[in-house]
Amino acid sequence: MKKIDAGAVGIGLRCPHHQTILDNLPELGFLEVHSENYFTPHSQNRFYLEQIANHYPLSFHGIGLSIGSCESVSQTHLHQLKKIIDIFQPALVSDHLSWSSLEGNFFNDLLPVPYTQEALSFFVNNINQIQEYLERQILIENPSSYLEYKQSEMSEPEFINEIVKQTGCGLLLDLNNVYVSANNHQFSTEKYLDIIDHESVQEIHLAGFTEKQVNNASILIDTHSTFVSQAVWDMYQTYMQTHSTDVPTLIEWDLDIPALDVLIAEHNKAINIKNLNVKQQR
Amino acid sequence: MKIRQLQQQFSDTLLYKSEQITTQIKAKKDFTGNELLQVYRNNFVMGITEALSSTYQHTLALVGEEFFNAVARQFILSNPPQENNLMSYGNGFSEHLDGLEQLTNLPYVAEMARFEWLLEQTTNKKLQHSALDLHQLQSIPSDQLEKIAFQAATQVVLFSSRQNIAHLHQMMLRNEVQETDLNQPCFLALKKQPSFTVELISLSETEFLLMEQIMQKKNLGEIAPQSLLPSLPKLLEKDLLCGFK
Repeated sequence: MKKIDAGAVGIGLRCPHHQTILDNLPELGFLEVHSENYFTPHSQNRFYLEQIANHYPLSFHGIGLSIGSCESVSQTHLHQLKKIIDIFQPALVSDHLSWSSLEGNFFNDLLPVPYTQEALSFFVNNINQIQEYLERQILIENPSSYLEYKQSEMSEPEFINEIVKQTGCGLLLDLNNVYVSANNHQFSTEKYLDIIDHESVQEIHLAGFTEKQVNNASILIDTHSTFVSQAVWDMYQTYMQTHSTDVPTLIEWDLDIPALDVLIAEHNKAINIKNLNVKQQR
Repeated sequence: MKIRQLQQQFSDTLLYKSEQITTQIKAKKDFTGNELLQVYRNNFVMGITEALSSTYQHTLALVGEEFFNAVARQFILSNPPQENNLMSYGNGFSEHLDGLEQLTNLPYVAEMARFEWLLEQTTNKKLQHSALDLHQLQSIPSDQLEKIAFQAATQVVLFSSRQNIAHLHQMMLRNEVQETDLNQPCFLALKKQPSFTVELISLSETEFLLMEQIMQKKNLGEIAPQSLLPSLPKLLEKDLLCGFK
């Protein structure tokens, strides 16, 4: 396993960049892949990952475990995930605080859960089952959401803290998701971050959102299709100053994927913010 | 409400079967519950449509984006993915197209979709590097030959159609689509290359039928009719067989 260095900044590895990365081997702290895209053993994606893994530490980020489902995690999915973990030995493995499948149907989206004791018990059971099967800790990412349930009994950060406490999993803190949800549900990002148990944060995600107009009102959608917004960069800077953390940071870009240079420029921006923070501390 | 019931209602709303879940959504100043749910419905259909568009690029080009998206939506809602991995989604799309009234006079559209699905499956096949040992084959006594079963290379997939899809595919790749008679059968072996491209090998009907039976693991004595057997050297020449037992 290649370890991710303290304070490293990485980018999401996407198919259009496979060959360019191998040709140029740019200086990147780590690469994060969507695990499911590498399940198929003889695929072109796997062929590239086998070579790229020789040069970079990896993080496996999934969207398919459906941890918040009121059902057990798919054993087939878990088995496939374990297989690639055994082969590539990623430094980090993560999935989301959401659900995506029910009774055999898969919705390919990160669907919201109500923050109730009952939902908590499903999360805890599923995460325990996953960590036991994979024989390692996983990280759970806070979601972006567009609606809230009437029946929620606690706030999202309280729910996350409880999951971490009961399972020993880590938190993948997506600052863009906090910003998107805060705008959509009119809560304060500062208050949200005040509640989070920062000891549990083991990775930070930064990505871009899209503003959509409906009935002359706007809603933010977590599209990962553009640059990280200035508001989220500001949050990142404040977060790094406040918490002086050296957890890895990832730049995500999944749709309308730009040239690798554009992603590397975003990566360098994150490094500059981290370095600025280090200088200010001296 | 129990979480199982809530997730069941949410699933139903994603599949446009029911809007019961809206009563569980917190009211917002600017949006109704249904409008907020629409974000999730759109994400669900659009994300999977994107996966279908990537598999069925030429089919999309044949029917245009608007028609493709509408048909993809129907297909997704009636056949939601059964695995948490979109890389394996899309089987059956050609049958769905085949059943559409609007495409009755354009049979090549569904056939192109069937071809593209197999093309994608071929790129994920295991590459077998072993070659058939001709010397060993020649040393087998003639009275033992009928017990031999040839092995097809693992990276080979067969495709046949009453429409000349190979020709249409070539025209589309070269961006030189011309009016042409597609009502001619085509018989193909799709063979994955180390570069992850797929070589299209044109076969005669007899070569195709023989290859089909070899892939069913029949030994030479079981091949029917036996008149197919003279095509065997052609299959060896085209490197479609990798061994024998």
